[in-house]
Amino acid sequence: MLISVDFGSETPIYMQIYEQIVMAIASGDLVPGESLPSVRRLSEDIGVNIHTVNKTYAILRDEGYLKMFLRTGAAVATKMPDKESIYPAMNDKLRQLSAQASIHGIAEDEFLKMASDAYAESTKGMNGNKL
Amino acid sequence: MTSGLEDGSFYIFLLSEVITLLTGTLLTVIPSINRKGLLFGVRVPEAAQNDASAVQMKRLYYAGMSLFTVLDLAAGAAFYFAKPAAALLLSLYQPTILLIGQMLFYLPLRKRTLALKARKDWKVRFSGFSETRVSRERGRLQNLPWSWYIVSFLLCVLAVAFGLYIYPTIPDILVKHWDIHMTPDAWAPKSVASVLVLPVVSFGMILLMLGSNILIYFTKLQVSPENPVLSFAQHRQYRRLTGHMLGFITLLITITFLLIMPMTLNLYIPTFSQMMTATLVLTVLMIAPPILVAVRAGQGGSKLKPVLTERELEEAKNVSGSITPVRIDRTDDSLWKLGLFYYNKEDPSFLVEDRFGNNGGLNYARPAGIAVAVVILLLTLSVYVFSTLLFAGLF
Repeated sequence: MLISVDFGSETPIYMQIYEQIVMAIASGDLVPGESLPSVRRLSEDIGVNIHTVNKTYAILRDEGYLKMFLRTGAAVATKMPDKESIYPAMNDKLRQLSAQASIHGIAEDEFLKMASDAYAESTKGMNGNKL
Repeated sequence: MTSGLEDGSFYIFLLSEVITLLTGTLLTVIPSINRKGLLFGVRVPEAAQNDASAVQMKRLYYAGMSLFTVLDLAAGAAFYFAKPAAALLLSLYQPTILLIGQMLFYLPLRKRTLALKARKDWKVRFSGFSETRVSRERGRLQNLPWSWYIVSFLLCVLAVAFGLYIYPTIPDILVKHWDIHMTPDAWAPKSVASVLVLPVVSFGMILLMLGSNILIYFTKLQVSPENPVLSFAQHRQYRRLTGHMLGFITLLITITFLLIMPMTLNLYIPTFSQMMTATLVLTVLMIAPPILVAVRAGQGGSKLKPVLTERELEEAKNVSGSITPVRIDRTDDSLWKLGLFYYNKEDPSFLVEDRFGNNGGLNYARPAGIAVAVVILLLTLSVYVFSTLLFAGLF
């Protein structure tokens, strides 16, 4: 997968990398078990501090998307975390999003339509990654 | 003239002129070799290459550098005919002066490009990229073109075997030096070392070349923010190309060293002009490939047209959709002092692609970068100081 970081963006760099890796796993661009560059290599490529990539990998590992190995670096987890573990965080994000939606005058059915389109978009993938 | 032909200074002069011509040509065409997203070391949108002022500046550079090269060639000739004995010194300084000339044109033009960029309000996304598969392969050594190095190594082994086989039959006292008329003037008793020295030296050269090849595999590339996927594909092809080029040169160097072996073993003594002609031909054969690769492939392979896989095409589409910059208030121009020296504390890599030119750059914010720079600087300086002192007596 291609990771691209925009240094001019408001989104922190570690977040940009995090989001792209998660998206790539969902779309199947990154397949389970596929190895990722080491922390050092990735930070060299992008030209960012090692700690930045370290932070991203640590979050991804804690959330269960990534496995870290001492020698080979990192790899996409072969078994993704279950639904239960994401419910609380997802709930928070959804409430935040729906709050914003309602402020901007987006009706519930429109909001649901947007959500279902986004879901289809991010999982359409080249070879899918249904677990 | 006849004396120049006899003592070899004419050949050295000729070699110096050829090297100067080739180097001058390479330095002159740099703006056309450079990535499209770079204009005199300044990051610009690729379309800016066709901007009227940009075209005019590039013309100015081409004309200036061509003229400078011609002047250098003429000055070299004048110097040689005034002081033929110092031809070796000439060969040291003549190509180096071109670098000074290059700076004379490059630095003001870079300043003008920065001003032009500000005036035209050219915006380029300041971004960093990584292709995870390419990244894992970068520096993976099984992708090196090993066959060149293995063949070169086998040649060395063969030369050692041949030397040891022939050892009993060669005279006990070997000529170890000839004067300019190829008359022996120094002798030494034969030893196993006299058989081994050239293969060992060429083996060292093989390791050196292998080292540079590995460094190229580790160098981080400048990715075109406008088409990163293509950049990675181009770089993959470019690495293969430079790998083979270096491998070819390694084989040539090995052959060159081993060609001298019959002479050191007193099996065959070439004439002086044979020796000089061989040197001239081999030098051109070694310098030409890097120039050809640089001109045809462009910086980091940016002129190559690799066939993209379906997956890459898909990826390219996704990226170009997300490439529209939201807000540009930072640029990487400030990380390149004078557009020549990369200084980025955040970036852990110490080998990076140059902004102007076609050789590897260093990250001067990294201790390793500084260490390499100091070593190179000291080595270069000592060669110049030493040779200059050696020739000081001539003036």
